[in-house]
Amino acid sequence: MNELIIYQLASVPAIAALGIILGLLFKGIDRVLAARMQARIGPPIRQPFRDLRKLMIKENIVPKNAVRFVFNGMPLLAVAASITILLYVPIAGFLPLMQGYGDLILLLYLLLIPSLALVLGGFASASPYASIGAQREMVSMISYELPLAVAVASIAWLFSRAMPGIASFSLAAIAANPVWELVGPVGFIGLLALFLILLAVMPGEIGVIPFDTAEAETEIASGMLVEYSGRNLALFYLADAVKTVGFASILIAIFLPYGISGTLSLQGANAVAADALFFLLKLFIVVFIGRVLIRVAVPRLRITQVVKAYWGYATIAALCGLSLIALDAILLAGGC
Amino acid sequence: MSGLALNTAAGYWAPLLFLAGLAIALAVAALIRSRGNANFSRGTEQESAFFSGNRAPEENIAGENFYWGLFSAGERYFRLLKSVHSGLVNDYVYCFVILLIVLLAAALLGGIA
Repeated sequence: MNELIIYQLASVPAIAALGIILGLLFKGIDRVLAARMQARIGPPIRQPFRDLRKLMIKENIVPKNAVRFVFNGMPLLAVAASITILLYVPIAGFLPLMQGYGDLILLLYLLLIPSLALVLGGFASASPYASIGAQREMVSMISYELPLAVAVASIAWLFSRAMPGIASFSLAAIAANPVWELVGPVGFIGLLALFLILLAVMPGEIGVIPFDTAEAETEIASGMLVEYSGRNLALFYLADAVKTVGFASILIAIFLPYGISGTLSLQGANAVAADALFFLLKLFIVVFIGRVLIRVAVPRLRITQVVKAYWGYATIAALCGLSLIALDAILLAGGC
Repeated sequence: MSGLALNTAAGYWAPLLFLAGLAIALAVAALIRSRGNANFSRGTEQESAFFSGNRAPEENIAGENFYWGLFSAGERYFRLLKSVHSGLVNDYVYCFVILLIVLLAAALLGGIA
């Protein structure tokens, strides 16, 4: 058993490399698609890799009034937390690396850490723009956490009712027993609402338009990141890319856990390859809807509108989803 | 090694393994960071905070303004909460009794096992 844990820990750098490559690749795809939707040619898909390399050779400026260890430490923490998310999520048809050692509640907290690192880094910058950005990021976090928590708790409740005896917050167990098969028609509508809510939470979690009020380049000059440059900025760039893959993978594990190898009657290496490619396709669809489409279609919201959107509309929609799932459970129990 | 994990009926977590994983992820991040340029021109204008070409004000955002967006968006809700918190014990006991009635009603209707 000890050997298994050593193997799991030794695989962390490989998962990190996979997350970074996928994250940067999808960042490139995001930029190309966004450009095409705006009738621009856009950069090549490999542009994020070039951006990263360029940032690494640029000067790493630290403001003289900054709290240096916090300013330099937070980019490290953001990347590390984003990588750690991937350790607890099923990826490409494989079980999570840390299967059995962390559940959805842990993931909810891990998702917070990169944003908190941004906030602390912003406050440590000793910049008025960064302070305003950090303040907005805190408010955004408070806002999107509520519908996210309601949606996740709803899924766990459904799972605990349909599959008693299995840990209801276990992501691997939820992925192994697709939630769509646990409900009737009414619950299906409720689940669809929760799926859409999580898709709407995604741009808030990864800080893209319309929920990027904390950065708002044209208004507060990138907010929390205004004083960051060089390798520190490169790390935040990486953290954003990896977190996008992490959050999309959580969404896939909950709502789209299906593989394709069974349908195509594939076995062995072919089945693994087919499921991995199918996972990439699902990742593309989720990132396209949750990141590209929303940020191109909707302009930036004011911070008060962000709060109203998440605390108001999204939370009410999530509660409606939960109510429909509960109603479905009552109907099914009554034999309707 | 399930002894490492803290298990409940709803979930599980292995804090030591989490810390080990986070430490390795931190090492990966530090390795990436170490490949970058660590230098900049100390003692120059580079070190001043950017404020659109002006001197940045010394004072920072006060703590009471941290949640401005939240309070501004939920102004009516927070006003209601403030009005409910009157500071009079009688009012709090009154709310407590109402909550008890609601809970009892829910229990009687079979909503609470």
